[in-house]
Amino acid sequence: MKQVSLTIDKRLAPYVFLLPFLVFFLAFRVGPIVWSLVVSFTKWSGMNEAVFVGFQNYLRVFKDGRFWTATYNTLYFVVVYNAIMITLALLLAVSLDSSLLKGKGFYRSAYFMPITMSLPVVAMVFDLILARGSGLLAVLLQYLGIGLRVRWLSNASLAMWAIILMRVWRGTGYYCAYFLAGLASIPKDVYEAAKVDGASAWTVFTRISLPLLKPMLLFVLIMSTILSFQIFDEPWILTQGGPADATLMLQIYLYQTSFLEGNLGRGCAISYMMTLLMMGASVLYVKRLGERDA
Amino acid sequence: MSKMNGSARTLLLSLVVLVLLSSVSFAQAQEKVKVTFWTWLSNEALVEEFNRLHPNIQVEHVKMGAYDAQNKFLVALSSGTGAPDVIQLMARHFSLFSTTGKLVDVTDAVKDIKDGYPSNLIEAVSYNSRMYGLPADVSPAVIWYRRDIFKKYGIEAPFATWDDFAKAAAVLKKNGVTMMPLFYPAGGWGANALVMYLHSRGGNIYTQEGKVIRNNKELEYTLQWLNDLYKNGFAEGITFFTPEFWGAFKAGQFACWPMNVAEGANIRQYMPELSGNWGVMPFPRWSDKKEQTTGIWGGTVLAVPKQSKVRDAALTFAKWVAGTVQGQVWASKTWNAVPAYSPAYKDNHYSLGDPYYGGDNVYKMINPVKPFYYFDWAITERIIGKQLDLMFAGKVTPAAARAAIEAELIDETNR
Repeated sequence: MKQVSLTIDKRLAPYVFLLPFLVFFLAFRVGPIVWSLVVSFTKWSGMNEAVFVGFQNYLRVFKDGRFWTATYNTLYFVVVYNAIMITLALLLAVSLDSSLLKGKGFYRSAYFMPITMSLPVVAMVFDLILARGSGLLAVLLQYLGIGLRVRWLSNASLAMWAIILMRVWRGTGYYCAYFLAGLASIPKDVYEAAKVDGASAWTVFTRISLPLLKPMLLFVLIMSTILSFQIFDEPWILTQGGPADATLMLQIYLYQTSFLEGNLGRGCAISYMMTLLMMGASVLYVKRLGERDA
Repeated sequence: MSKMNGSARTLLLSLVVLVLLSSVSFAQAQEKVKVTFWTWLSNEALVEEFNRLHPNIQVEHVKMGAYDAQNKFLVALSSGTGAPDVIQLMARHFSLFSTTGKLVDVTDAVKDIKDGYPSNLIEAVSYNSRMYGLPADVSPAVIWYRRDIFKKYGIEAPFATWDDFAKAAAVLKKNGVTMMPLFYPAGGWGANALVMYLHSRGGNIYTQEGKVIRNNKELEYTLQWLNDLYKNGFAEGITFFTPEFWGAFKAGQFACWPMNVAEGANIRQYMPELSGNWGVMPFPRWSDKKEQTTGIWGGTVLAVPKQSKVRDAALTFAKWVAGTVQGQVWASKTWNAVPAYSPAYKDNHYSLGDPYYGGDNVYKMINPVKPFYYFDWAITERIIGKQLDLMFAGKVTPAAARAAIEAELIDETNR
């Protein structure tokens, strides 16, 4: 009987092994991306017959004042949150990296803990902290003799800050872990040489740690920016984007348009405009931080 | 052992096959039809009762958030897979689904019970004169109030008019008690609360034909009234349904809560220690109106998607819940539902007082309801909610808020 050969051409072998991943990647990643691009040119509720409308969705979104409000709010949040969070995470990492600190394990775990909590739970906890009159913050202020009854979530300016601080509390420890890993990878003899030269702690930080941490800083910045662009849970649970759109973020705008108002075509257009924004921000970071290393 | 001949072997084999086949068909007869039911309400006891009464059907109660259920349902209808067999939807958002052709037309299936529903509820679940859902409950407004606080400050209940309500609020404010909570930031719920008051005045946002009412005096009046309550300190903004919210009630920070009947179940659940201290009264009459009518908070609809592979069983369940006295009474017992199916009111359950509410019978506190029309409700909620926030922040007057609501609705809905 003639034997059937099961050997594979060596040149095809890598592709055969990659095939299962590629099939899933095309089906569940590339497919929806392409499909949503097609949908963005239609008027479609997800349940009726889709009608081709060309660039109408994009034009409508572009002319919609709420889109620009959401874009401004999201950019404001992304910039302020990242500035505060990355500064704090860096300072925290440097502190935790200090040889003078005892019980590092405890601090690392404690600072990392908030990221393990689910976002809705965090939002509910902060709702209790910020509660007017009876909240933890109000009680602490009263204890200090400051009888402040602030409506944190009903005040357009304060509501945004409440959400920023909540995110900072949650994210700082997580990104601190990245910086700690970056600091650990810096050769110790560089620090010893600086010590011999009589460099101060500030000089060591600005001239050695920071430049050598730049790749990690760039990574954290891009990751954190992309994730913070996707902010949804906290403002949705606490304020539903209010008061009067003061905490309206692009994700809330997208969710309202797509699911609550049943306009998936326009929702897909919003998501593509968001992607362009995020890509623009990432390119800017890479150019500003990456080219200096070149 | 002697060998069997061919015919004996054939006979034995036939017998074995016969026994096996009969046991399979017996097992199939015993097998229950499984019906998946999505809801955000605590219908567990109701489902248990249905399952007890219908041994051949097993309803699985799947609880999730109201908007979660709606979003997941939209995705399931869109993708053509993953929908439940029965879903409970918000009545005010039902037109988003009834017009898609993806729900089972129940017109013929509910012929025998159709007369039991008021015509406006039939209209709300219909599209092109065909019914695509069953009205499960209505959600009329009443005023839940704290008897002990009212007694302490010498306030008489019930109020004859909303003016009396404001006078009582002034007395309470002097004593450091706020009359009622207010959705602020408003969001969709805040918008629906405003609409509840507007509806109690006989007002509407849209005409019956779906056109935005221009120069809507009723809407302006209601906005002005709500704004006055807030500015006078008779109502205070708070995030609803949070621990802070229930805590404020427990602490006696609020004296009453104008809200739907179903909310009474939550009051009882979150504040069992206040049994006997709560009472309920009807919505008062507006001073400039002759009739004493109430507003509707929402209400729910049961629908069966075409995807369901067990449509008959799903419809049996939906009809039992929404179209039998027994089902409606169970919904009332479980979460204070107000029956959509009129014959249910003959049941003794609706004539009893409740010790938790000091012996009051909430079903006796419901005023007549005038028609209300929902169109593009998600957009409507959003637009009204934003203007309420601006108004409470003092950035727009009630008149300007009314004008902006109308202008934005016309722009966004083309109605």
